[in-house]
Amino acid sequence: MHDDQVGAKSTRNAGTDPSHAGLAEAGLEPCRLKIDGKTVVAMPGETILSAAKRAGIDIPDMCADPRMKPTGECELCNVAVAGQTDHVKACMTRAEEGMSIETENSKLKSMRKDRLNTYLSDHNAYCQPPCTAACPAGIDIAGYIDLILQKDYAGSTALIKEMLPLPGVLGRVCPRPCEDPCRRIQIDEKPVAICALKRFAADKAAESGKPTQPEPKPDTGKRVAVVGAGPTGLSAAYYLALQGHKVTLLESEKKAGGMLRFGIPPYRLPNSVLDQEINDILSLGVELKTDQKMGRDYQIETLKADGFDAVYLSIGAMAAKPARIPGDDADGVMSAIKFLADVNWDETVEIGDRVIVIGGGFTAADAVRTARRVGASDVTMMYRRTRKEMSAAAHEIHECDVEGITLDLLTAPVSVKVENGRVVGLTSQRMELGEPDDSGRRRPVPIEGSEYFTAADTILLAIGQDVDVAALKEGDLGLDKRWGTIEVDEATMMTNLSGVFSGGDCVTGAATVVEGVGAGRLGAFAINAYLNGADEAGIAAAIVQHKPKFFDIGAKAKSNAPLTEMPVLDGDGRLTAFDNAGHGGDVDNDPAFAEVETGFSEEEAQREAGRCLMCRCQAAGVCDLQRLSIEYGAGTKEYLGKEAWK
Amino acid sequence: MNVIEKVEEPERVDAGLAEPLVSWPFFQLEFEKCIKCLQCVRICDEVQHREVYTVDESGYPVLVSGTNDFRDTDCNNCGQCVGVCPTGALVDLSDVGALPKNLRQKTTTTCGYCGVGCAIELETEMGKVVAVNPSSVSDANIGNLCVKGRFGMDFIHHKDRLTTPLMRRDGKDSPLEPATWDEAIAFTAKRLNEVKAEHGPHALAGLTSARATNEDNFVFQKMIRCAFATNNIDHCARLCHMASAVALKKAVGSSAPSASSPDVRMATAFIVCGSNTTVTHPVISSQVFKAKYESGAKVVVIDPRRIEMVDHADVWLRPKNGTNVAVLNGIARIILKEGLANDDFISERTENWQTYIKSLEKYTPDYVEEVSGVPKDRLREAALMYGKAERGMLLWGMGITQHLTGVDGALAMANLSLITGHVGRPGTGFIPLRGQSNVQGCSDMQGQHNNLPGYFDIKDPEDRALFEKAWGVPMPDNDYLTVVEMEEGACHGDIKAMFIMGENPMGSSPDISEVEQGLKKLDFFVVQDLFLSETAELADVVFPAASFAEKDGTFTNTERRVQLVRKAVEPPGEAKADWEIICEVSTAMGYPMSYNNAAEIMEEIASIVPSYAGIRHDRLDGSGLQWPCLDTDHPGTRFLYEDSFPTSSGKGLFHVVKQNDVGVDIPDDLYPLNLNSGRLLEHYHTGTMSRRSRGLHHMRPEGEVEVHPEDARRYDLEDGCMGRIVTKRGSVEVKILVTEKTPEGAIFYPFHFAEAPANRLIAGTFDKASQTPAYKRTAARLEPINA
Repeated sequence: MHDDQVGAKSTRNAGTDPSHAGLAEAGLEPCRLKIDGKTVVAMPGETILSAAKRAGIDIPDMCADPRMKPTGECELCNVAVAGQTDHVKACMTRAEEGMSIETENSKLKSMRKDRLNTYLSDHNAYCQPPCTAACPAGIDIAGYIDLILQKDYAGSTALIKEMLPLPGVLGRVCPRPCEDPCRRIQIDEKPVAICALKRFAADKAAESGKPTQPEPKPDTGKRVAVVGAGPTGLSAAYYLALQGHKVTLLESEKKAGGMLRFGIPPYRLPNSVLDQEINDILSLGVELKTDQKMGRDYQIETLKADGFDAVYLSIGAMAAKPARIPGDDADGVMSAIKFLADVNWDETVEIGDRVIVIGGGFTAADAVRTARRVGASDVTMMYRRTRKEMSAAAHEIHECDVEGITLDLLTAPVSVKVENGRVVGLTSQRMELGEPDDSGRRRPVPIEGSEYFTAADTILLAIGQDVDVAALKEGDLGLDKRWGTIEVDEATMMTNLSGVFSGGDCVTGAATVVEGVGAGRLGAFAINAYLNGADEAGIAAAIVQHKPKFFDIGAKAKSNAPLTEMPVLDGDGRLTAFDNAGHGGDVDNDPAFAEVETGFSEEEAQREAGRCLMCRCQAAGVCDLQRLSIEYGAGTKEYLGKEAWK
Repeated sequence: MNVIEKVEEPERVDAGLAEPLVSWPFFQLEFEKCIKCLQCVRICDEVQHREVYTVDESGYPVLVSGTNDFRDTDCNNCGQCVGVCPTGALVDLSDVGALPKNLRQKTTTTCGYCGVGCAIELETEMGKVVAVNPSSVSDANIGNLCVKGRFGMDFIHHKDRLTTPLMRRDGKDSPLEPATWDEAIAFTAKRLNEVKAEHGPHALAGLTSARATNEDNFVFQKMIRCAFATNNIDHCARLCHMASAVALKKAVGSSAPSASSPDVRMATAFIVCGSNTTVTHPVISSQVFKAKYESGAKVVVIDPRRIEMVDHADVWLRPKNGTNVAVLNGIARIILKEGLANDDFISERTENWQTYIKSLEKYTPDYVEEVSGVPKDRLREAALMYGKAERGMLLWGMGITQHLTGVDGALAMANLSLITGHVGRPGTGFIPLRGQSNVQGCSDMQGQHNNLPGYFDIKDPEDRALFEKAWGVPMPDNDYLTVVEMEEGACHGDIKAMFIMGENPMGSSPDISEVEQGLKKLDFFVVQDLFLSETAELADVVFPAASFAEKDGTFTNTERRVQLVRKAVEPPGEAKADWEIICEVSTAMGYPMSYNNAAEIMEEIASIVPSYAGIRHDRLDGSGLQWPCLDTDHPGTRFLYEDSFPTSSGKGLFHVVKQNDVGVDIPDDLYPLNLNSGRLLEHYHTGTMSRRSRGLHHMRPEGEVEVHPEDARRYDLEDGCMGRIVTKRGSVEVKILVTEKTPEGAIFYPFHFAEAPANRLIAGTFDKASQTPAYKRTAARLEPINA
């Protein structure tokens, strides 16, 4: 015989442990009470808090743990009992037969808020690091730096790709809004080289061939057309594909990439890097159709008829703004965008020796440096404000200096001097800085009688871009009259056409790559919600973003290392290459177009990653104080809610 | 063993902030985030009962030491304070996750360390376990955890994990090389069948694992009985609680612990004998504290070492090593003489009373004092506490069982339960505290003493017929071999092939030198493990197994509670769940086995083992189910023996036990000390898992031998210096720890450390009835090593 007859004869219920239920006491009967109008049965001797919790009614508390004696210290669990003037502490008060309890009213709410504010006055901390909040894509920066420190480069890249599918691209061309608020600055005045570390992780992961992308969800049977395969469209396609939707990218050029391909020169972003990351996106089953021009090959309205369940317009802002000065239609005056595109598409260009580029942004910087690489020896960048106000990154301007480019500042073009229909120079006027304008930058004011002349063979205009709305004007799509952008409902990213969404430069006007990529990702989530049948509120909820402020603390450093500078090609070597430069034609193999920034070594990356203060709170998202403070609107500062991490 | 490197604490740069309180590398308290709720201070005090925190003038938690380092206090790194912090002030330094905690995946499962069976929540991120949280879903731990459960799970992703099968392609002298599954399975099946054909089935043997799931164990024993066709199967319970199992089977008819964690929390008096509870079962100790400090329960501790439980004892009895039986009989005699025997219970529920009480006469307080050194007044106090209690509870561990008289000790404990009637009611009973996560389930599944699963008797034709019908092959009828007999058999050439799943006899068995000799002699030897253990290094084929975090299944804890083990991450490389590997080997050997998942195996278990009849994976959320669970509506059984005992008469049997400590290995002039071996809080078993955890290894990088100050002086040893322990079997060189914890004349050395293994020192002497080795009794001497 087996010996488990014991069980047959003496079974006993594995009942709830009476010592587990708070102030349990033998000999008492269970009692019934009302909590927020709901009838609740309390076990003998059970507290109001415990009975409510078992019944699924949430009474806030920060100090009641069933393993310890209740103290009522936090005072958040105060509730109102009918017939009693004073509030009682739910953790210390026994439930009694017939009690009627209210867990929330305006008085309790304001009391709890006060109480939480008292706690917050002691809580000199942060919820999330400022870099992540500043990042338009919301990347978990401390997280990926942590993984770099663990030498898990594929893991680090995978984490970046949760928010941004082009880490190698952004690791090279991002304007790095994350680095400005970095807390490391409080320690040694230099931020962590966040962007360079991103590039390092992405390059290392690509080199190792380890997977960095999750498997897409099972096919939903839905089809989405993404119009424009620039950074925004690629990003939208990636996240839509991961959700299991079938994506078709419609690109008007012969290759995908948009501004990344023809706006950014290969010495900053080699085509091999771009191709690799685009291929990774296409590997999820995204279909790419090139040479597809809207208006010629399809209309927005016809896409639905072609079987697409939703459309995402990410056509960018590709049309150069005109200069509107006399002579701007002469031979030798062209937009910087056009010039860059020609060079990047391997066309040979004849721009002469003397080139003037008008503008102070990224495109201007790219144009002057590219001009040097196609043989121009005397290149001038003219900008109407000072170095400080230039929107090109400081390190880019520094490279302009290294590459022998003249900066002519506080100047504005007046007229192009034309001889025989061709440009021979530019008349400009000196400026001085006046009062700040809407953007906060000081407004340039012309100085009377300060006109001067600069000789030039070519003048390149880099003073901004507009959305090319020509193709859109035909249909019913709503456009912003003033800015010439596509009009969307900000909360849902949907245009006036149902199922047609839009984001990126074509909605915001020309902006940065990282903003475009972030918009693509949000667009994907909006479309995913739409395809899952969400209403407007549901779509809005899927993409709502909290932009938190932070409790700040003095930062603590584990490492004393100073900022690791990005290694670059030797300046003299570059100048020699420029002296031998041709006129473009094969940029991928042209030594003058070699990538200037060479990337961190592993040792440099490890040292730089060690500078990160990891100033994030481990408890963010599970912190009781955070949760309750959001719920009760406590604190003068905002908190990061869960939604922002979707 | 290739253990991990010590990870140095980073240097801090003064940033003008309050220095955090640090327990490197486990957690730290950062004051900027502290809201002075004092939950940390309270849980440490009220639940853990340790002197760690106090409160400063401005209301902040600080350390009693006045320093910033938890190591200066009584802290044992349980991390309960981290779990209870409502903000992020207490930071888990072992957390290697990158995502915010609320975005990580979470899997509730059962801890894979000791037998308490705590519910834990594994936080995973990108396929890796990055942090562990306590879970309050189970009554087993009600949200509590110890240092191993909370901070010791990083072994799961250790670089030493086996990721492919390994085999020696060209005989014993060839190296272990990576192989494909097909190749390794085919080779294993072929070699096992060859040995079986040449030497007969009983030349084969298997060791199953108390760290594997019920499903793994069930499938393993099925392979041994059906494919190997032998009963040569055993597991490490032989080395720990077999003496308790034998004794309880004799006394009350079942080897199982009678009570549960909720009963521990309700008891009003405890006798804790030979159990270093705060170290080996920390979460059970916190429940004893709950009973004591919240409800006034009395605690009697019987132990020769000044263990931490002594600090919480109302009475501490410190018997000379090996005199348990005298002390327990002495307690029984006082209970009897003081009129505290439960006459109703004795007359209705027990047998053999008269013979028993006659045998007690000899154990007068004076006699007991003379034999054991326990003062008679203390003995009386202890007896009255337990005898007068409303609800008495007995907890014991290896201090009872690992003696030449292990069964006698456990019988003496059972006698105490019966004489007082402290059994079969809520808050009463006895728990021999199980050491490993599934040692109870492992016994339930494969049995012991010629038992089939569910303790069916292999010799009983009716029982055999049941299994023959279910499994379609004749059941073998040979006498079983124990772990140590298998090892001896290997030495003598009777055993020619062995299959060891998740067990490391090269660390855990007594007299390792002989074990090594035996295993090397085997014609064919298979090991299935997470790591290339000292044992696996000797194997011809090594299979890479999934850890508890990488597979589904169930563990049965020390209170018979069957709880779910849930897959949280994928196994590394090509590693597979134990049961999957076993099924493939068995199938290749000619006895096909195949299951779609672990739940299906549990259904087969339920169809055969009556006490598991109602257990299904989908019923095990929350606290799981305690067996007996007789059908799918049955709520499980919290405590046993409410109405009767499962003996043939239905009554509990008193057993006459005598103090009898003559052995071959008692101290003499040449070996004047008694070597007592045991465990440490931070480590587990032979250290294959815990020594690969960063934090646990950091705390206890090496073994130290505990020596009484008088002995240290006598043998010219200083604290912290190196010394040599010498026994008749061998010697090891270890660091000396001078402490009054251990009594004069005795030394204590933990068995976790492969580079200086305790079991190289320990003789193969055994309790006769259970074959449990006398790990607590080896004559030894200590020598200084002159640098």
